[in-house]
Parts: sequence; structure tokens; C-alpha cells
Amino acid sequence: MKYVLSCALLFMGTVSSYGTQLDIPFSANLEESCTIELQSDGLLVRDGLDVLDSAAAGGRAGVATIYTTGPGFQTSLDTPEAFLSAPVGTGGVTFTTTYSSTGATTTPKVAGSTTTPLEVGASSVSVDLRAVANNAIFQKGEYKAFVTVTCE
Amino acid sequence: MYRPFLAVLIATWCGTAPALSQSMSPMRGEIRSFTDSFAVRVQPRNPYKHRIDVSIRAYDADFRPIDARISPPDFSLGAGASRSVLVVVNFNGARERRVRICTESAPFPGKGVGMKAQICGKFIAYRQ
Repeated sequence: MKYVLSCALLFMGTVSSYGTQLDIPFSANLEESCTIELQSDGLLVRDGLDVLDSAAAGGRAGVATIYTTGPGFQTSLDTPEAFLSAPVGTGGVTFTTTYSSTGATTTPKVAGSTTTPLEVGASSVSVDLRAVANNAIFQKGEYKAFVTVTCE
Repeated sequence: MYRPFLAVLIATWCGTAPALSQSMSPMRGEIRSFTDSFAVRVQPRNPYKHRIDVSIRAYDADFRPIDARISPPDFSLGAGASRSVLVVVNFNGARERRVRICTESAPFPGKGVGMKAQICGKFIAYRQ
């Protein structure tokens, strides 16, 4: 009799624990997005008297990582038209930009105005800037220019 | 007096409600408005571990700056933070308008080649 009662209690306990089970749903609905993370600034160095170039020996390209979570995004660069700051007396300057990409999107070095479709994932974009003084030389001092990386 | 403003608000909600579930913007969007202006709400986010200055700008389909009421146009965002920005653009008599709304930031002040990030959402607005 004691054995039967124990079995009944065990059975009831088992049924009761089945009754407390519950599945908690988790869901996500992500939309496409683009994030740019600027990893490092570039460094311009002299490449002759009238040229400053981040691709010259001792210079450094600027690097940005672009994260996309959907198709249809593209990137390009906006080339500066003038230095944000430069020594007094600096005349006209012609700028050119180039970039290349590795990671989700692989692109050889192209002109900054070139539009490159971005693959889904993380793409590392390496940006170079070249400044050529118009009929002048770059005198000593600090120069600052901005290159804009666009994702749209 | 408040009817046009209310209509813009309703159009904003209808056009961009799905975007509110997104932690990152700008994004693509289609807006339908019953007034001579339409509104887009974007949610810029700072992915960095330090505070950055952010600007919101509006451009047309050819990347020319356009007049827009942006609230707020310039502000500071803490690490990982985001905030909502309302952009109101006039149709200027057109029935359809394609605009880019861009989040622009420059987190590394220094010498040499500074880098600016510009993330642009593309939006099409229809006047009903």
C-alpha cells in the first residue's frame, strides 16, 4: 500500500512539473543600416616641394570601417576643396583622393569620386589624400584637411 | 491653426513608424503627406566609446543642400548614445520629392588628413 501511495505521489509531482513548462519566445526584426567607424586619421607628408601626399613614404592612409546589414548601400569619398587650416600665405591647392577596400567589399585603389557598392558585412576602407600646390611650394607649418567617407 | 502641424506629425508617424524600431539610422523610407511639407524622423547613433559632435543635413537627389527645418541640426552624442531628430522639408509645389538626410560627424580632431563620416538615408516623399 505504501509503495502504491509513493508511486501516486511521484506521478502527481511529475504531472505538476509538466504543467509549469513555458516557452519564452525571442524574436528580432532588423532593418538595413549602415555604420561608419573611423579607425584612424591619415598623415600627409612632403613628396617634393609642392606636393603633400599620405601615400608617400612616411605618410599614412586614413582608415574607416563600414558596417552594412543589408544590400543596396554604396560608398564614395568627398574630396576637400581647401585646407581647413594652413599657414598664412598658402595659395590655391588641388586635391585628389583615392581609396581601396578589404573585407566584405574588396576594391583596388580607385578615385574618391568612384561609387562602390558595399557587400553586407564589415568593409575596411583605406583613404589617401594628395595635395598639389598651384604654382607654389608648401611652406613649413601645420596643414589640416578633411576627407568625408559617405555611405548611402 | 494647428491642423497643418498635426497633419505633418501624423504623416511623420505613418511614414517612419517602422524606423523607430531600428537603433541605427538614417535608412530608406517612403513618406506620404497631406500638406505642403513632409517630415522624417531619424535616429543617429554614436558607435564610438567617446563623445562626438554630430550634424544632421538635408540634400536633394543630386547631393545639393536643401532648406529643411531640422530639430536639432547640431548636437553632441555620448558614447553609444542615440537621439531622435526631426527633419521637415517642403515639397515646394512638387508632388514627389527625393531627399537624402545625412548624419555627419568628425570624431578625430588632429593634424593631417581628418576623416569625416557621412551616413545618408534616402527618402521619397509623396504629396497626397
